[in-house]
Amino acid sequence: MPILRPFPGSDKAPRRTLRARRSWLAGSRYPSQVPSTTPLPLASRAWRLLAVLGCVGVLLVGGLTRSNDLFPFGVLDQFSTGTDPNGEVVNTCLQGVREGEEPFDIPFGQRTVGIERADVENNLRSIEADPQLLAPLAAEHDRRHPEQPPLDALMLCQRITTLKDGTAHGEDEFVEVVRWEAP
Amino acid sequence: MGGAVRGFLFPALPLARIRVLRVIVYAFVMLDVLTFSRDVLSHADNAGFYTPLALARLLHLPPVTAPVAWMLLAVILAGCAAAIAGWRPRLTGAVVAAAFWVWMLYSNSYGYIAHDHMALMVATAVLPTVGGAARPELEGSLEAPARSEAAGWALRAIQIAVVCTYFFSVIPKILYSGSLANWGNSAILTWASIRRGSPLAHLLVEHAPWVFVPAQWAGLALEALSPVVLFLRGRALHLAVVLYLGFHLSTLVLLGIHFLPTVICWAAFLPLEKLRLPQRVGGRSPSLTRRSPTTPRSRPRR
Repeated sequence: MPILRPFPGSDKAPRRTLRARRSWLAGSRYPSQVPSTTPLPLASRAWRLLAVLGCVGVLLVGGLTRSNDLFPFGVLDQFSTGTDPNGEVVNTCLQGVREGEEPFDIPFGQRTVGIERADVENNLRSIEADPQLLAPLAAEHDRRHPEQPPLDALMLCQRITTLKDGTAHGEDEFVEVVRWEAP
Repeated sequence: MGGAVRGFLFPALPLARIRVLRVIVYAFVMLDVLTFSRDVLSHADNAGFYTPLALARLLHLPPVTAPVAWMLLAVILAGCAAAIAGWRPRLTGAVVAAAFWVWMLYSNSYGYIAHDHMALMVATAVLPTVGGAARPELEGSLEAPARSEAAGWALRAIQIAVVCTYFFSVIPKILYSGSLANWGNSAILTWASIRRGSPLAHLLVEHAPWVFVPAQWAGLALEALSPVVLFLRGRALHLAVVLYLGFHLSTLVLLGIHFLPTVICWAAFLPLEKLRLPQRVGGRSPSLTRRSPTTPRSRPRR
């Protein structure tokens, strides 16, 4: 890879500066040769160009086919479904159950049940079909609270807020989605 | 290759900028794997949730186990530390890129797929492609820095990834909401505020919900117009960077969404070579901070 760096003290330095300046005056934003510039060979430029086109192409395909599978160039669909201003907001929740106690809220997260709410929401159907998938969450909660008796059950729930004209209206509705019972 | 394409994708930019960006990116990757994407460690207990992404299937990645997660973490941290110190940054950068991509595949193969890491993943992939940025003696002076097209391409690739993060989020808004107008006039920010809003967001839902629709349209404008940033220079570019960072600041204050992995990559738009790093960080030599007496003064281009 050639280095076009002017040798310190070389008489070539002013000439190259002049050339670069001429190129600048001609309107080129990135002169092909400026002092101390290392150009890329054609093959190096070619694979880099193809890499950019390929990644943008995958991103376009991912977007148009709504595919998240093509991560990191899948569909960028966070917050992309517009909510009806007169619709509802579903807020997924977890509640721990111990005999003789009122059910209590358990926040989602790596430091509470070992998984984030969004991970659970995206696996809702699988969890409804197999509540045993909640067992690791209960185990993680118990592990983090050794001073307390283990959970008898873990409830996956939803709090549903009704919207009216784009704002919350009335009381939240509480729905139990599925329950994991300790063996 | 056409001159316009070459000028756009392969601008000759300072090698010193790459070296500073390396420090920023690898320091952030260290922070990232210890905080934002730390879920890989806890996913070792959630094998039942494993739904491998296409690239994970292609690589035949099994569900992550605790030893694998800790090993990846150690490799990423050690690689980043070495790259920051300027020790064989292309080699260590390549190792970090491979390990970090696997880490991110694991982080996003358990249900939820985040989109804030695209530019950062691109950054880790392209930084090792730049030769010469590990040799401060070849970087010239601050006024007449050594430039390379490889450096320009790497910076351009990161910039394009940043812009794509916004621009390509417009497509699903059209597809999922029927039209951009449907999305802009929807209650998506109310929805987000109720689900994960700060006290301020809840206050807005209660007392000033009218603010959300104009805010949604403003956000749409930022996303749809983001490619313009690739053609801005000087003060206009810096203003644009401040505007987008302000957008992320507002989502942080209202919704707790920081988008930091993308935010950090906005650094690729800035003349980082003007930053003065501690002498040993990134392999920097003191010669870069002063003008060489033998090299002529030239006008900085970016």
